[in-house]
Amino acid sequence: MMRLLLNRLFRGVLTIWGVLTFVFIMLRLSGDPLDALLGDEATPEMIAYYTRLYGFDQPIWQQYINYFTGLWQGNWGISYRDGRDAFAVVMERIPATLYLGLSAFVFSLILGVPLGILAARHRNSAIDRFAMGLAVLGFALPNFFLGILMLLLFTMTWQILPSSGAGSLAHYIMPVITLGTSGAGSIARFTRSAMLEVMNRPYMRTARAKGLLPGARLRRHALPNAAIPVVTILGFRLGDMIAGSVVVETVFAWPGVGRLLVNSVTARELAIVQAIVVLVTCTMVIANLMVDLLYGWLDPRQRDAKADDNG
Amino acid sequence: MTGAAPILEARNLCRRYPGPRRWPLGPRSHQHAVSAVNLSVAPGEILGLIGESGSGKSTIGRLMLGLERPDTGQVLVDGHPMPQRADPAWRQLRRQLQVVFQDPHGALDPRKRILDQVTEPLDIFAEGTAADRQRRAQEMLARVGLRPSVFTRFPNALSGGQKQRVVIARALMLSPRFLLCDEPISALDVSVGAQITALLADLHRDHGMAMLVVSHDLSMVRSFVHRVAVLFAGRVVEEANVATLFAAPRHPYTRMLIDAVPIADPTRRRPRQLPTPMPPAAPSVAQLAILGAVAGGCAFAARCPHRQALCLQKMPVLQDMDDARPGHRTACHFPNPKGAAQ
Amino acid sequence: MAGSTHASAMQRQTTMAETSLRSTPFVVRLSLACLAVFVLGGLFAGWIAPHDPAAQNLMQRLAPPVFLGGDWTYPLGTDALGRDIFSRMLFATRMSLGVALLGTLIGAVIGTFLGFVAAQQNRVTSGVIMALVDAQAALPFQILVLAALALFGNALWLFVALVGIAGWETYARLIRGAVLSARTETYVQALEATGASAWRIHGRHILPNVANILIIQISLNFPSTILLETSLSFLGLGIQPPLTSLGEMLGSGRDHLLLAWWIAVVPGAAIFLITLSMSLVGDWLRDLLDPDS
Repeated sequence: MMRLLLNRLFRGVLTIWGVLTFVFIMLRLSGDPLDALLGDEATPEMIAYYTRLYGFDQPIWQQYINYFTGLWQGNWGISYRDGRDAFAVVMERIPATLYLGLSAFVFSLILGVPLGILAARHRNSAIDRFAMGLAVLGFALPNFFLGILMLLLFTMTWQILPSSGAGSLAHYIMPVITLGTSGAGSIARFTRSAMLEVMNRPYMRTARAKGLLPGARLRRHALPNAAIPVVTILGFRLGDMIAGSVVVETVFAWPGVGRLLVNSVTARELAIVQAIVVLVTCTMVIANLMVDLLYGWLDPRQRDAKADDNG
Repeated sequence: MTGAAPILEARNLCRRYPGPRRWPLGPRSHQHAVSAVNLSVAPGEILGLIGESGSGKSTIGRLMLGLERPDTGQVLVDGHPMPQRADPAWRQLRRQLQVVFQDPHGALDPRKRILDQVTEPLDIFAEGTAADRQRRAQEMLARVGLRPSVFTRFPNALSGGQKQRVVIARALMLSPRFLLCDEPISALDVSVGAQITALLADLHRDHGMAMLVVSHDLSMVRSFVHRVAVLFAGRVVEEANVATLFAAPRHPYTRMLIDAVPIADPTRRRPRQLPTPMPPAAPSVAQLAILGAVAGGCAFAARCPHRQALCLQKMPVLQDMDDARPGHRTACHFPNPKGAAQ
Repeated sequence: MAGSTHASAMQRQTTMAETSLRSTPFVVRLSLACLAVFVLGGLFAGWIAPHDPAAQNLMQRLAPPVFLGGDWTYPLGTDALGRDIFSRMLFATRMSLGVALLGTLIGAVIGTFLGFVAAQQNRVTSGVIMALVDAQAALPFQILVLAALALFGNALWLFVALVGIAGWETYARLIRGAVLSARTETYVQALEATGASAWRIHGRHILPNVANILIIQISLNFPSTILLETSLSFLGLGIQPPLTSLGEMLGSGRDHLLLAWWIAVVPGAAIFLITLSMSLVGDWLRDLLDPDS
């Protein structure tokens, strides 16, 4: 188990390193990196400062090392629109995105897991068809279209919900539903198949044979075992969530990182784009590590497995 | 037959497979699959290789064909060392050395028609015209007893016995001088297996290729091989003509194998002289092999009814035991007396 | 005797094919028909379109579609510049389907090739490929696409390439696994023992045997590719005017929701129908071709 985790940790660091290298190469390939990082209106002093800081007169490998030490010391470049530190600009947008993402995540869990369990327990019933229909819809209905449909109905036609901003609780309703629906669908689908798999196992028949009531069978045997595969997709959900938040924040003018990213790409604010990419990469790597940990903690076989058995 | 120069000869073959590491990054342990094996097959000769599962039979087959390389020792083809795999000569040797696998269900590509699969060996070596190749494949399929109606079918439409006939036909397309049969009937029903054995014997009479028949089925081996080598824990423990071996086995392990074959005729029940005692918790063959190797003694000692102190200390050497029967070699310190059986 | 067995086997096969056709679920047939309409519409956009998709008619801005009381000159109404939405839909469908098809194929070819390479014995190359697969699976690729578009500016070929690269890792992982398991099959060992070259073994035997997996994955991946293209175009970062795609139409229609909601809803519904039909067909194909999963 330890060895497995160390292996994953190593891979995670490797991933972050790879993305940073990708950004480094891209910055060099896309023209004068100073232009990219500082923009057109940089003063000569700034250009001189950053030329010295990044050492653009030095050989490329030296620049590569400097790039990493610069990032490490917090020199992420500056936003040329208001001259502020790019990292700070991104950081102040994080809470809004975090609240939205967490709410949507909880929404999709609260909707998806019970729906999946119900669908598995009442297989081929109306509830099952509804859950699976929702799963297909959630996948096929693009979140930007869902958002616009809701805007049309709730804001423009019935005028019961605010269209944009993040001021009150009412502001959360449409973005959370838009962001969480596809997740709820896929979680429901996955929970259902995990439950069905578990319910066909011999130990479920044993539990039934020894007279456990259906509720107890579900709680004590089916759920703990079905939870293991469900946990693994939560990590994947986070990636979809981050990608989805870019769209949802744009549709509902949510003041978060996703909208900042879209605006920065449009305005070619490369310092901010770079900061967001690095931030997202680190978040994903850490999230995947946590899923691995959770997986090991949930599955006693993984917990007790010796280092040699990781295959 | 023993006089002719061997077509294939194994000299002191050893093959070990990496086992698990005891420590992270520590040295790997090794499982010896085959240890110090010497074998030779003369042109036209059928050599049987018997032993229980895990004794290294199949590994020896793969080594003899050159599909795997030994860790030490070598395989000689017509007296020359087996070429490296990258060597074009290795590829050319495939025409001469062919194989029939154990599992006929997996041995055919599920997405290719029977006739195409049998034609393929000729395609690989680009022999003759396309029409010519196809005609030869049809003839071979007919020769192994298949009706033309199955030629254009896919493998899943065939029975196990039919598939094995296809596999045999494919192996013979290049007119090999040596054919390895790796457990050719163990995946088949008994009656179908008997038909396949008869077919192999028949084809041997026609084509005269040398064969190595790997099997754990003694009655099958007895029915059509010329010479037998008995394998235990990766070593040859006894080797003799088929008649000699079955009539007068010298090694206690061979004796146990032969006694374990049921005889269908109650009037011919043989005297069970060996109660085949087993230790209470019988160690696995692999453990025994390690035990034998570590202790430097005979690998069979732990299961041997005649075991004595010497057996645990010194590995017996495979050698001629009986001047009257040259070629009957046994690796045992205390072999059964000559002609002890029946 | 032999001939008659053969004939009856043939007969059995045809009846099986017929039953499978007849038992094709109604939803799947509907999806196929729906896809056919979009594909034909996109393919023959130039012939069908009643107007030049770029022609502006400022007198006829935001005209309603027929089902909202408009007239047949503009069957689906006009947009803010007075361009015919029906004609634009045809060309946008062509663009969206074309980019998605090209992108899916690029991903499938790269992924399949790298999957085959990663299944070879060389531990260094396969290690590098699998590390890349893991890295891509662990990253939201859409963010990286955005970064690349920001760095290089937008060009159609770059956009198509990026959309294509998005899906390669799934193909690589699936194909590698399938090739590795195919290689342990006895028939592959038999081919090696007969001196067949690696090209013959992989091209003529293993590839046809993993083709099912490939077809299923392509059909399942296609909707994701469409969604990637449309959502990027929707954000204004993908297909750029004067070119148009379904996502671009939806994105520009967003500004006129209050006055003319159909400008956004018509292309949105088209995206929804295409992805829905395609994923239903993909699920059906998977059940049909791969009963184990």
